[in-house]
Amino acid sequence: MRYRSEIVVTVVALLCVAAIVLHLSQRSSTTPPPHSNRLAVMTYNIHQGFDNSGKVDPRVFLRSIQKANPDIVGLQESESNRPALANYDLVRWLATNLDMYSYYGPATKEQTYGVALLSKYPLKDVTTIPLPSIEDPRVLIGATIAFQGKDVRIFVTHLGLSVEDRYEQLRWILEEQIKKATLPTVFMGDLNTTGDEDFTLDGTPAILNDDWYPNRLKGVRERLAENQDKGIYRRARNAHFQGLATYRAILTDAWQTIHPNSPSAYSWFDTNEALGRPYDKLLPPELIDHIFVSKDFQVLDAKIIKDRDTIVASDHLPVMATIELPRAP
Amino acid sequence: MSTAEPTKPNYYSFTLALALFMLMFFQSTRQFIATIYYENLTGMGFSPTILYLLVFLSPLLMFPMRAINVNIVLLLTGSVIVAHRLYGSLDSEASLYLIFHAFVIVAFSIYLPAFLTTYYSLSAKLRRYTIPVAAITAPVLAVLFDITLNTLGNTLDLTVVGITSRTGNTLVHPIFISLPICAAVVYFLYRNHVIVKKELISSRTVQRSGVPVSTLVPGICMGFLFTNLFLFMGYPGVVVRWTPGSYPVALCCTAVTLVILIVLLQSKTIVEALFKTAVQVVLNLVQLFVVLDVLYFDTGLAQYLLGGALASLLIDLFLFYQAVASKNYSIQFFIRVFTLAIATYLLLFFMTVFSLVWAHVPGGILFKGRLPAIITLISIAYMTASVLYTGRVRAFLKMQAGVAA
Repeated sequence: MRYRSEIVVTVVALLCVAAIVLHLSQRSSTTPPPHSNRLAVMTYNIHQGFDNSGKVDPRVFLRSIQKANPDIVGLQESESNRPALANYDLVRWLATNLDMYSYYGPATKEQTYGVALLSKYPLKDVTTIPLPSIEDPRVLIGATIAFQGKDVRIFVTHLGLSVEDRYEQLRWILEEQIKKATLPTVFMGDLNTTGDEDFTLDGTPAILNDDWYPNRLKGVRERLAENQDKGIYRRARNAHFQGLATYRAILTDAWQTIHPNSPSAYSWFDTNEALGRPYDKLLPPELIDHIFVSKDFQVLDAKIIKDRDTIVASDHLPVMATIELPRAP
Repeated sequence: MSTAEPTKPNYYSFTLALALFMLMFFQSTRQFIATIYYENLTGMGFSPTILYLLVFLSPLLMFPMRAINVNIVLLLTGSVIVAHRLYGSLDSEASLYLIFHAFVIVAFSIYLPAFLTTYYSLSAKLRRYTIPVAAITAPVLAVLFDITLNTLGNTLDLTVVGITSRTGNTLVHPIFISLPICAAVVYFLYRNHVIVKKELISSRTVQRSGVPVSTLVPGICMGFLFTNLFLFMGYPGVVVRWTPGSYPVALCCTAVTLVILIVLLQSKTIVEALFKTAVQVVLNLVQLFVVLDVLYFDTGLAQYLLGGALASLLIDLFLFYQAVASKNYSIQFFIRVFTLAIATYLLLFFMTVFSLVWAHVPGGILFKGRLPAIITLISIAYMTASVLYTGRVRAFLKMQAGVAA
């Protein structure tokens, strides 16, 4: 046949377009929001889409979220649209497979690690706010949902690793967003800080009481050294800002409310330990993923989800809280 | 449609084989690089797995194999690619993950120079304008296949997660996709083998003349081009995360544009027109606009124009290796140009990574905030070079068409 090559190649190309169009047209629209008086919120650092063995396999994250069935998920390290991260869209993939609305957060070119939001409720007034950052650029994302006839503001973030970045970012969020919020508010994320980190300290704190694990000392001492080097404690004292303790004066710490005495709880761990590889025993697991809610809410439950999937999925475990807005008398 | 002579063989199996092998190379490269990134920079340090990147220098392995019958080389390396790609769809245990992707990359790096040399040697036996038609159509099809598989997997390539890895309930088992693809490749490989055996008297790698060729500029420019292709140009879903846009719109516009290009490429008149300098200038300006829109302007036009920009990029890819082939299509020059291209791409890949994790690598501050400027500069460089090569390539293609006629 004279034109056999042209016909074969053209037919193959047309089949590709047909497959794309068919797939897009078959995708179901997002289901209506649930009619519940409870709101299950989750914060989950999804490790840039890699499971703990180093493979790109988002199915394990999907299963972790599916089993917990949250209404709202704040994601960190969600940016995967890069050659180093296999160029797929983790947020879109999860949102499609979970049938949830999504807000992607900062554009890839902003060069952050990604902060995103998945929700069973439609999202409005979405915004990405750059945070004061000396090291990696960090952001706070915000969105509003309609829950039980009221607007609820959701904030998600992933804070910096250095003490200075974390201090400035936590303080800025509290002063500029939380204190100025007029709506019932949920604030959650990978804050890279423990509940007991105190920025106002310039000397060794009373950390050797029974609640402290000795292997936490290394991390605490490193933080204190940076705190002293950069004089952060002076700034913190002048601003009367301790850290999450100051947040607790304004917001409700979901985990602390339900589990007030649980010093060994953790949401981040060394993945080498999970894989049975040699690991740094002085790098202890810590609770650095937090959910805070405004006093409008009542916290009904809080849990750290540790199971077969979450332990192999990420170096962070998902933290989840169930909250409700008490009915007006 | 071009006028054809019934006695000359149909070349579709060459086009489709190259397209599918390119697809497998893109897939393996993507997974391979991501795994090495995880093993190294996510831990904010380097591990020995970084040495795996040396497999990208494997086109050099073809040097000692120059005297071997290329038809055998094509068959062997093609079989290795298919076998490991199929195996990867069956079993993706982490310990083997890097290894089977590495095999695909090594085999393709040997396959490609051998394929191009054979193909150019065969050109007189094929129909007029077969080289530009097939050599541009193949990468365009490869990108289209890749976009299709990513779409069917909801942005994740659904052929790369092995069925024996942890059981998932959301993806079609990849074997049902991988198996027919691999079967098709095996058929094309066999068909090509038969054609080459029949048509080429000497299957040794042919050197057209003793003319030395500089591969430096085409090689480096090809590396620049790969950077843009893998960074965002080859991924409509990624582009609409770098700049505002709608995923379905970007996807449909890009796929339809690529199909239109493939259909147009089957016409000799269109192919001849494509290599006019004025046409190349316009196409490259579209491409440059999309790059600038993604990096700086954010007008939202990138989602509509991405297909055109991608088409222009893939034509530029052809212009670069054609610029080498038009002087001399000896295998050693293809090896040099691809090695240079991959090495350049790897350097720029590290730049893109360091511009993200600059706070955690020594000297990373040099890359802070520089990504857009660097991408703009390399884009202007390779687009200018491709326009400058257009005249040389056009003259060569006319000569080839004359020989074929």
